[in-house]
Amino acid sequence: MFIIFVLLLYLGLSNNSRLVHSPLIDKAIPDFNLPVLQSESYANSSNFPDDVFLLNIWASWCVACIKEHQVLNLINSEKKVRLIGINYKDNEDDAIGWLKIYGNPYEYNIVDMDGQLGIDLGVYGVPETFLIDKNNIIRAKYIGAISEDIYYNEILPTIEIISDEK
Amino acid sequence: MRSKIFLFSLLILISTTISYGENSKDTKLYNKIITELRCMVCQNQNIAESEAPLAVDLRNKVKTMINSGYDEKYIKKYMSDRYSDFILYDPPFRVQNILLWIGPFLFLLIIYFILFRKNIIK
Repeated sequence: MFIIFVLLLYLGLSNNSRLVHSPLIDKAIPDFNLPVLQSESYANSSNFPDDVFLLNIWASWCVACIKEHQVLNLINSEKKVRLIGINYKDNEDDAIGWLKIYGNPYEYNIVDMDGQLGIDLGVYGVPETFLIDKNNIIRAKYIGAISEDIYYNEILPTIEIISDEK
Repeated sequence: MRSKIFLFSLLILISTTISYGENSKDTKLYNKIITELRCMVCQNQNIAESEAPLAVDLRNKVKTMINSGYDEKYIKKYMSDRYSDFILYDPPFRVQNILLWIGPFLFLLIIYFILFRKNIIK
């Protein structure tokens, strides 16, 4: 009995409660119509590519994003998956300056100034990254900065599996 | 002088109660909902207590939704559809969290069983 109790407590400790399973997985990207950074045009869910891509939520005020950005630049240089950004609750000039300093791995950036798209995507810890399939269905969500380890061991294998789907 | 101060404080007291009484049904609902939603950033606080930017955004969201006439059930579903049941301090009864609901009773039953068995052996 005691052992079972200790085991339960241990499981409770080892379980990472900060990582909340997203209820959005296997659902379509929510509707939105928002401006594109450094452009006059607007982006909405209907002009997403019919291709597997990563949707990365970032901000210039986000410290963890700086480290993650190196990995995103690497992902972009490998050209194995497309990368679209959501600039979350940021200042436009700050965002543009930030991309100049750290590089711009994104095809384009959706400007979510008031954070409504963030709410619709259940964002609570920037950076967050969504893996989207050809039918624009959310297949996975990664909360926190993506590391090379996560990219090569989790994201890339998943991309290879879902790229073969119709 | 003293009576003036007294009158002044009385006036302030009345005016605050009046402003709280304004549209009190909505205010009550607002206060109820924000104390029952978890702040996802600082998970041991509700969004009423937290000053995290997301908590402020979600409070505003709840306010605008109440003003648009949505009820508590709709607002809570809106939140849990996006942030999972984890955002609700009072999670609904579901297969996934059945242990959460019946766990304590199960635990009591097991303890009772153990004690009871010991008594029989004696």
